Amino acid sequence: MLVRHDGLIWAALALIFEAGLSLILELGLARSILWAAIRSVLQLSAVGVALSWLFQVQNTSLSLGVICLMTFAATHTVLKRIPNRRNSAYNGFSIHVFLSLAASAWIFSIFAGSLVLTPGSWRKPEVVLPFAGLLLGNSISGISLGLSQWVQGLNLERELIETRLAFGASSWEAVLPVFRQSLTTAMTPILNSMTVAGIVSLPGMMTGQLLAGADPSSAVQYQIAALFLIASSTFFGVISALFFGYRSVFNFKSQFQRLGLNDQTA
Amino acid sequence: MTKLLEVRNLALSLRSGESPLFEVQSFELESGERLSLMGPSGTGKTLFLRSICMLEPHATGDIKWKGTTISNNQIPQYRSRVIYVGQRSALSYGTARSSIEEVFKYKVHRGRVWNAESTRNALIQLGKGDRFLDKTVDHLSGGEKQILNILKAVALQPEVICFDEPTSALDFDSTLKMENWLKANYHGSWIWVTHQSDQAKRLGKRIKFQSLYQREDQYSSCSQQARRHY
Repeated sequence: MLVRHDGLIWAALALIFEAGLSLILELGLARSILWAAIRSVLQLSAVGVALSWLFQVQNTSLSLGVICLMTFAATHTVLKRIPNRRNSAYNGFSIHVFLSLAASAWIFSIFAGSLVLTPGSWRKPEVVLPFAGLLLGNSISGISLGLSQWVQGLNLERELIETRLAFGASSWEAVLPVFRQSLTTAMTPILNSMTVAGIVSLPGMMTGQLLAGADPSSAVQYQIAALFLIASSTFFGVISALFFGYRSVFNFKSQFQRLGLNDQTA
Repeated sequence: MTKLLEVRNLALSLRSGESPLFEVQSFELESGERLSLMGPSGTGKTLFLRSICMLEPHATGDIKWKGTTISNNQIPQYRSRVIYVGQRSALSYGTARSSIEEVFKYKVHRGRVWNAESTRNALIQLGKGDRFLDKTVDHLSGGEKQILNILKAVALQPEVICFDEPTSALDFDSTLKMENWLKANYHGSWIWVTHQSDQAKRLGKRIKFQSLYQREDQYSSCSQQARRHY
């Protein structure tokens, strides 16, 4: 099922009606509604143009380049979400975020495209680009939640970690409670959405497929595969970001390092 | 007596490039030896103890344990034999009992069993009831937390305990009881930082931290001299 030829105009009229209502009732939302609408039209049109070009060219390395750019943007988003990063994090932080996002999204996109979806489809931009986007989007939320909790936990429990070390704990034993808590926090959203999938709402991907006329049972299969892959790639990304973090806050003498960034790059 | 600890040229600067807060050219601790360390606030007594326990990343120098240098992967093992007990040692959430049980789960303490009876006896002698171990740590007063940390360290039977004002939140009577219990029930060495000269007298050979640390040629040497000085 596709949008009818004048469908977009009707959808736009609905939005304009709301903006008008806001204007009449002086709710102060009209500007934001219109601005958001314009932005979504421009951004999605640009993406549409870019995607149809990419799908036409069918160049694998070009798609990989695009995924690279997406990963940079994702890294930027994660870093913005870590509160008080300059004083509470550690050196190498942004590199860890980039590598973890890349590892999780890239590896699992290729994995999906070669073993889960139709064989060889990882070369096809129309499969790998949306899939990488899906995985990156979920990894962003997982990694930023996990790292926020991690950085906060390290700062709050600094004394406790030091005390554990003083009583003979290894650096891993000293930091394990914070590590565990961070991983749990990061995985909660995806685990929740797996738990309620189909009961509270249909996952977005499946909704799209059903609207586009796909057979429900194949949409279900696709959705289950997607959920599993999202959970796996999020877990992998979070674990790797946390392990990088663990390596950075202890030295080889199992001593807990001072936190806070002391250069401009990280 | 055998030498447990031999420390040479231990120094610590808070930031790299700054002149060190303290420099100890030579410090030794023998098996069973008990030292009390005094000195003005801010001279680095705490950092000195923490450096001995290898908890300070910025400390430099040479520490030998029973004649051998400690390799990096032996550090947790070393810390389980030379335990640092701070003035305020943080405790994990849970009861006093679970806080003691936690440390016995560390890999380095595998094979050791907590003698809970001995801890209970200590608590009775200190005038703390049977229920102490079942209290959650956030219901313990500052002094009770200090008692818990001391008993936790002793339960592990280390060879050395670095006490850093461990009884500062206890009243005089409890402090004496704690000291007496330790003298009777703990058989290892200690280095005990205190600000009260009475307590220092009771606890062992007194060392003035100022004379321990070296500023060029002001003091020619080490603890040995400082001890003779007293």
